[in-house]
Amino acid sequence: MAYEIIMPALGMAQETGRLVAWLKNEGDAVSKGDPLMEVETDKSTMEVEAPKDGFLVNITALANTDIPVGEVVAHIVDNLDDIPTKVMKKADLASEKTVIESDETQKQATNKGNTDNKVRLPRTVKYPNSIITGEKILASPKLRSLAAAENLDLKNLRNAGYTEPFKAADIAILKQLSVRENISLRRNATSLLDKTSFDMFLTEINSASQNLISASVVFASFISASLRITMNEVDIGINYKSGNELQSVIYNNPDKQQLGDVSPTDLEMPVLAEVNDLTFTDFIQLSGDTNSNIIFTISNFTDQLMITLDWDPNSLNQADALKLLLDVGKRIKSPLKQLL
Amino acid sequence: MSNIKDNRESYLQMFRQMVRIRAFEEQANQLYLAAKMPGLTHMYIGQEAVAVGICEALSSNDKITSTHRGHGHCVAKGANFKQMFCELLGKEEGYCRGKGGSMHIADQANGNLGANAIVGGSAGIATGAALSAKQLGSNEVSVCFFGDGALGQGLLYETMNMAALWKLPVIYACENNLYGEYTKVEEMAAGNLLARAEGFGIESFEVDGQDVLAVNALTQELVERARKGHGPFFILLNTYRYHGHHVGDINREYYRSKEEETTWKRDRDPITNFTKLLLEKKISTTEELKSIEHQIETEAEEAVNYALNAAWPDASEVDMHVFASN
Amino acid sequence: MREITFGAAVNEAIAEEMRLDDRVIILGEDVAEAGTPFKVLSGLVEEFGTQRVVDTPISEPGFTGIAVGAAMTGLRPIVDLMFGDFLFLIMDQLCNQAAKTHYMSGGKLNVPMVLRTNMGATRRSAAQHSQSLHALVAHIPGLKVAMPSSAYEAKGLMKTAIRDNNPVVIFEDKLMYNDKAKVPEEEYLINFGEAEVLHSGKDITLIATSSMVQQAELAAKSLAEKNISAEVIDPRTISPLDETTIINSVKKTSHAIVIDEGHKNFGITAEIAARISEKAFYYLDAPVQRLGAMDVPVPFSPALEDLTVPTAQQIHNRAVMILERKI
Repeated sequence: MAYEIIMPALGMAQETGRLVAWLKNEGDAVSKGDPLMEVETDKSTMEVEAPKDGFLVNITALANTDIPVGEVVAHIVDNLDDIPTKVMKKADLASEKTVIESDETQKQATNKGNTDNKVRLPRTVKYPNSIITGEKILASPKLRSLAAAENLDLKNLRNAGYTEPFKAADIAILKQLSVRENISLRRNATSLLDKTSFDMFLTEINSASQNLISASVVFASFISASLRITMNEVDIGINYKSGNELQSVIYNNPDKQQLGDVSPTDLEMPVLAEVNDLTFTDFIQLSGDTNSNIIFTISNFTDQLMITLDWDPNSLNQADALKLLLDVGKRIKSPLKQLL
Repeated sequence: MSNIKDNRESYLQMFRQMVRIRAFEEQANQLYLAAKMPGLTHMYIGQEAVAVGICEALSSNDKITSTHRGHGHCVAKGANFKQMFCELLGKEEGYCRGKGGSMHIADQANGNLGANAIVGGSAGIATGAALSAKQLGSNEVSVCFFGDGALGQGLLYETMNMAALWKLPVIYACENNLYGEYTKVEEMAAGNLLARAEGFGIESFEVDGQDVLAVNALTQELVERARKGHGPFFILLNTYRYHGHHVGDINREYYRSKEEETTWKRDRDPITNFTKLLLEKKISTTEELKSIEHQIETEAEEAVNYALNAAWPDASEVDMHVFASN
Repeated sequence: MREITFGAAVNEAIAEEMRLDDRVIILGEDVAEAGTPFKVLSGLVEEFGTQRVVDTPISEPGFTGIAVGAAMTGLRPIVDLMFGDFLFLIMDQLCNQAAKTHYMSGGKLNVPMVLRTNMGATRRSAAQHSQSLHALVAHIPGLKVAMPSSAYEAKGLMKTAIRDNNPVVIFEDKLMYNDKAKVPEEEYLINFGEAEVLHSGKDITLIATSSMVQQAELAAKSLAEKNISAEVIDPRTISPLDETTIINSVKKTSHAIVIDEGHKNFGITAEIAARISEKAFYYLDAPVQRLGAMDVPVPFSPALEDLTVPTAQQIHNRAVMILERKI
């Protein structure tokens, strides 16, 4: 029968206690009332006593560490034959506390001379004091700012096995990890469309209109309409890049306006899809320049229009993606039907 | 040469000032009872002759420091009702822009360096003012008002010691109203009260604090001597406060008998007795005195109403005046 | 440029101001012939006389209170409080009277006084003569607090303090009176609320007060040998505190250690660390570190006393630990 020794709660609203030192060694015989370990709370240092006679075994908590209140730190057994299996915590394996020289001297000045029983640890480890605290990722504010600026997810560092807390220097690794992820996760589909009807349509609406209606505006409008139907969104922002240098403009719900009235907005708004309109260039493909969930690329392919939809499967499932692409294709192939 | 101000005007002035103090205090008391006053205040009623007798012997430039029971000193040194009531109510037009209140009221233009909430806390300030006067050759004197309770504060003895060593022009005026808060003076001050200052070689005097003429005569003499560098001096003024320690101290019988209060009010009232004297000596008439009283009561009432309707300080004032500009 | 001792610099500052303004006087114990036990005020009574350099009885609250009253009525007194530990004796006069008079009077009364006192342990003077209590007074609105770190600051800050129309408390480290530094002959003042960056750096900011500035400088040198570039900042006055310089520095380096000889708990280091955390949080790559005097009464024994104050070695070690990701 093993009796659990736990880190006691010594103060109100206290979640951890610092285990300062073990006063007995693994395997020592102890009597009820013997001091086993020294713990420090925010107020004072005190000794935790053995609750019963026996042998102290399975010491799993390290000196000079903060232990959550209630956690088992050792066992007392009646005899050394039935020691329960030790459960080593990840923290023990990955982390150690290097002893700060000066603090050590200070502590020696105030300690009661328990230096013999202090557990000293080798000083080779890279990131001591690391603890994984469930959901929350531990990272310095500076790293968080850097990561947020580039839309990078700190979870990638944890998933790749790096020890917390993360710091600014880890941004390089994080970038690498994120890029790799983007490439492996995305999907795309391409369709080739006859553009005769579209060209005719464009000529006709321009002859009827006072303002110049560009192909870009029509594409943006069609894409917006398709997004509205497929994704059930109310507010559609489209980041439309076109021209030789792929200059970017934002359209706000272009499908809700008359084609002649559509113009870019300068409102700051979230963008649902990106469009790379390569029709002014000789390129037929462009990928990897943004992390958006939905990216359309429009290019000329001999005498047809090539439309590629590149999407993040975490935000759009394949069925919906294909539906979206098909819908856009239908509008471009039969533009007149859209006006009706 | 008579030291008593024996012309009619100065007698009437003393009468006026005592009545002013009482009128002010009565209004202040009403404000508290009607729950219109923030915080607490400490009534001076019954001690008017002390403040008036002393302050009438001082010029506007002479300095005084006061206590938590400081309205009397403030009025006696020349303050006006409106600004005082405004200060008690925390209004912007108060002497301290509402930032001091009853216990810290100060009227710097009239030489009132301020009431002090710390018992005996202003002993240093009054003595320091005397040091300035001596150093700068201004011929001013300062008066340190304090109660019998302050005789327990070490600071008082430290400063009296230094005042005596350096012969500073300061008069220590101890208003012995027989009680420090809720405790009799006999239970708080051992031995002889006058001998304390005498122990420092300071000339000490005892006077009936309810007799405004006696107080005034003594003070005039001491002020003149202090201006010549013969100070400091210590005066023990025996007096009585009619109200409790503070306005909320209403049930007082556990420390003070009703009989004692009645006796003092009936036989030793400074205003009643001075009135008698003025009439006996034909310095004034009942009508004139009543008219003065009435005028002052009206003034006080108007001032209270003015203050009740006056503006609060703007919120932006809260962090002004932490530091003086350079 | 000539080099003079800290004590001489203080003496010069006071003498110069007393010559410029008749209203400046000194009150304190043994300030006249003795020139104080630290001999800093020697020679002043000979020049200015006993009316202006006044020996008082051993009555700290008394002469502080008198100084307050004198300041309110036209003089500009310098109170000499022999040991910083005696602050506890004068707290009412300093914190209830001097600090609040201008405010409580709605701006009508001023208290232009200087309280000159000291701080600093390791002199074997034991618990009641070794405290550094500047945090206590910095906590009180209405008081300004200056902490000269060398003879140069001592002179400039003292002159500014005497000219200031507010109560100013100056803490001098009692172990520095014989330390020399370059002090110009020409008159100069040091403004309150202006920190000095002694030493530019990019890896870590060391903010230190009083004698800890020397320790930080030593640490910066030893850190440089390890290729760690430390920026050392001396706030010079903690009330008012030059936050901007400190914050800008930490935004640049992302790491900070605050070193002060007051007790670590509830003191200067805590205040500065909190402000850094408020205003430079998103730039921090590690928690702000604090090094203060140990939270124990100062022990007498030489074997123990020296353990209680921060040292250059401790600063060095802490900086290394931060930059090696051990914190």
